Amino acid sequence: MAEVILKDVVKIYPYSEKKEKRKAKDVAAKKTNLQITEKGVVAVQNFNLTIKDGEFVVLVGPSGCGKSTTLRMVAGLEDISEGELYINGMLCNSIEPKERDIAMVFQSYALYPHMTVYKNMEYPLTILKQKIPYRFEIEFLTERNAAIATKIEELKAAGKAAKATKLEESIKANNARIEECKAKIATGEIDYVAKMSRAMRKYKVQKVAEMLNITEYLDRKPKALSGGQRQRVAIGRAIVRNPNVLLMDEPLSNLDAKLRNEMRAEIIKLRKKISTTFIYVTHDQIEAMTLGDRIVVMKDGFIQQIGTPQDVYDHPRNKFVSGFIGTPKMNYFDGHLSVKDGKYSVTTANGFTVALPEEKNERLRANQIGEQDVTIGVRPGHIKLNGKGIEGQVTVSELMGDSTHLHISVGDHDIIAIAHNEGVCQDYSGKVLKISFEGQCVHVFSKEGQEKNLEYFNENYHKRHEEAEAKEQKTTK
Amino acid sequence: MENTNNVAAVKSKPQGNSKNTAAHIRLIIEKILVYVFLMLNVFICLFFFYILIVNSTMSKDELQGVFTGIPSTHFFDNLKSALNTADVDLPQATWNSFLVAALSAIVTTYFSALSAYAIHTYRFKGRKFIAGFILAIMMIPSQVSSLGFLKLCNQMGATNQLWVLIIPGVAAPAVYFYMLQYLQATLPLDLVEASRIDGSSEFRTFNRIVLPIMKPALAVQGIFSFVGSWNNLYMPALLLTDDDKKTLPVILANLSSKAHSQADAGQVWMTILIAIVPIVVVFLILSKQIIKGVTSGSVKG
Repeated sequence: MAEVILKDVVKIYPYSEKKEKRKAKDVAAKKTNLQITEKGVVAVQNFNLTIKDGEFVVLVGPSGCGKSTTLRMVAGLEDISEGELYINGMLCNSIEPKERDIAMVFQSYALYPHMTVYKNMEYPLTILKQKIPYRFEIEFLTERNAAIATKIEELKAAGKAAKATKLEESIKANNARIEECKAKIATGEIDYVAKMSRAMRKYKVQKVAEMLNITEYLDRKPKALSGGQRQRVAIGRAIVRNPNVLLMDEPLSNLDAKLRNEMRAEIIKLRKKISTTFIYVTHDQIEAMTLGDRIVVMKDGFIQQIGTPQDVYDHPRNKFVSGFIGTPKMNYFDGHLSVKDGKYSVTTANGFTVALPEEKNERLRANQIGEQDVTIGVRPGHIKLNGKGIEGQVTVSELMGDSTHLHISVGDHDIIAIAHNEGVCQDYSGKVLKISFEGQCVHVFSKEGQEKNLEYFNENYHKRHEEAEAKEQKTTK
Repeated sequence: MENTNNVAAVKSKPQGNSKNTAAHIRLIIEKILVYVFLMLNVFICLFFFYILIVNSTMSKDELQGVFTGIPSTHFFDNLKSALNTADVDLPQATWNSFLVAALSAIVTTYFSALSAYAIHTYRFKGRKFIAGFILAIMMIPSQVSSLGFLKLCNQMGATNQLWVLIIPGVAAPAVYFYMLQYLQATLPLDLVEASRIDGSSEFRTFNRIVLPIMKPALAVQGIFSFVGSWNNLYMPALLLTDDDKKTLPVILANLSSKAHSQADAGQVWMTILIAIVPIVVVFLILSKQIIKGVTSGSVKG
């Protein structure tokens, strides 16, 4: 367990060759919207994040947004161009990966193909000294004693008393060690650092294999396993060391949809069993929503928003976040925001007007927002098909089972609405419907610059976030 | 369904039948031609082995007569005389050859794999230049550099030493190039990174993770350099002058140059036979590995 702090972290990929500088510039500019400076392409910009002990943080964003680069910087596989990285209070900028006490699960599993599953999982234990908790050693020794005891009985039955007495001595030695460990625990020590013995490694691997349900595959090589099993082995290899921080780089994206759902649930279960700080990278917003304590939404190297899944979903700070989080995607209407006596209302281009609730009014007033053209965002689930408001024709109707997703052509663009099937499935295709939405479901985005949510327009989001966090820490203390 | 019906209809027509037979006959002729060609190839390849074996069973006088192709009965006589000649110490030469070939095979494959791994894995300044430079060395024929090498050895007083033949194996651009190709096809960098995070040092990663993955490539290049070194006459002939340091090819050359005038031709043939046995054995044991190694790069892509 450890706290991870990233302070103003920047990653710049320098141009590899001077002659190709111009070319690379052009290519990079076309491919992404990443900022290009004299030094090179900036993949991650001023990344500030404090990950608490034992927290599960998900970095999410479209491909090329710098989330994997950030993770690799934490792992020590990429150099940090600027800024500072602290793991467990230690400045880690120029510390080797093996000394950071981290483990990583790769998208491609990265299992060693010539080793069996057992050897794969044992490998990290064979190299470095490990933290061995006294509790674990007691557990290990008691189990070992039980095994020796049965062997002694067998030997006695076979009439080999001399060997049996030898084994009895080893039981005594083990018991003495157990007492030693208990005494250490009593003094408040939790673990010690040493090389694990072969028997202890075996016990540890077996334990982890049991936890992940891969005991029966321990003798197989990775190529004889299915994708889901390989993923389990990769996770097993990572957690067998009890790392301070567990890094996961899109671990589920090589699996098929069904297996992905299963493994997602497995990861949630796993998280309850082991107490480690998790940093998880994904491009899948469902994984982000379901797994994370906090989500970090990234785009073009910039952090867009940091918050709990609920916060990010309910209060997206800009249009990008609102569109990225939530399926189906949020609908957007061109519209106008007007104020009268401190009360705000929005009117769509089609002439549908809705007043905003007091809660939103307050925030807009606090940000001193005036009348302006805006983009109105409404989540598909909040669109009502109640025969009032904007008229549109259903172009596509997708049956999802308990609900139907309707693609409704309004003006020159399509919007998506969700119709709940209460018992009977209705055929909507081709129908002309009237749709509306309520003020409390409306998100108002500026049409300028970063298309910020106007409710949080002047908010220095990160600053406030950190302040809130500091307050929270104080209260918990 | 419609398609299969159509096919059936075409087949049932008499015209289609005659077409089929024509195609069938053509196929058979093609096959016969291919097999004749292959048999010819096999004959060419194996005929010399056959001559070698037959000749090694013949006495000196029989060898001077007309070539019959029928084995004679002097196999063990020749073996005895080959092993017991005063001129050459055949067991010592075989041991020398084996030592040089085995060690240079190990040295060549290990260090080539190591440099290929470095070029493949690490991103350092001048990487492209070094990779290109190593390839450029391949273009220089070994005869050109041998003069300098010989001079160096003489000045160092390192002639008549077997290690002089082994150490240069460290730099083998062709083997390096093969290893690099193999690594690019088979080793994802994720594995290296995973190993680093698991706590390996760089050398441990190479020895424990990368080398086992490269086994087929190591086997192939190991055999090739073993055979190359075993058959090498040029450098050993220049460097080794002591009788107890000479390798097999050097001894063979000495013997066969004598053979015309005085030596026993049967004995020379027998020595050649003994010289190729280890290579044949190595090939027979490792042929599967060789085929795997030669094709693996292309299959995995």
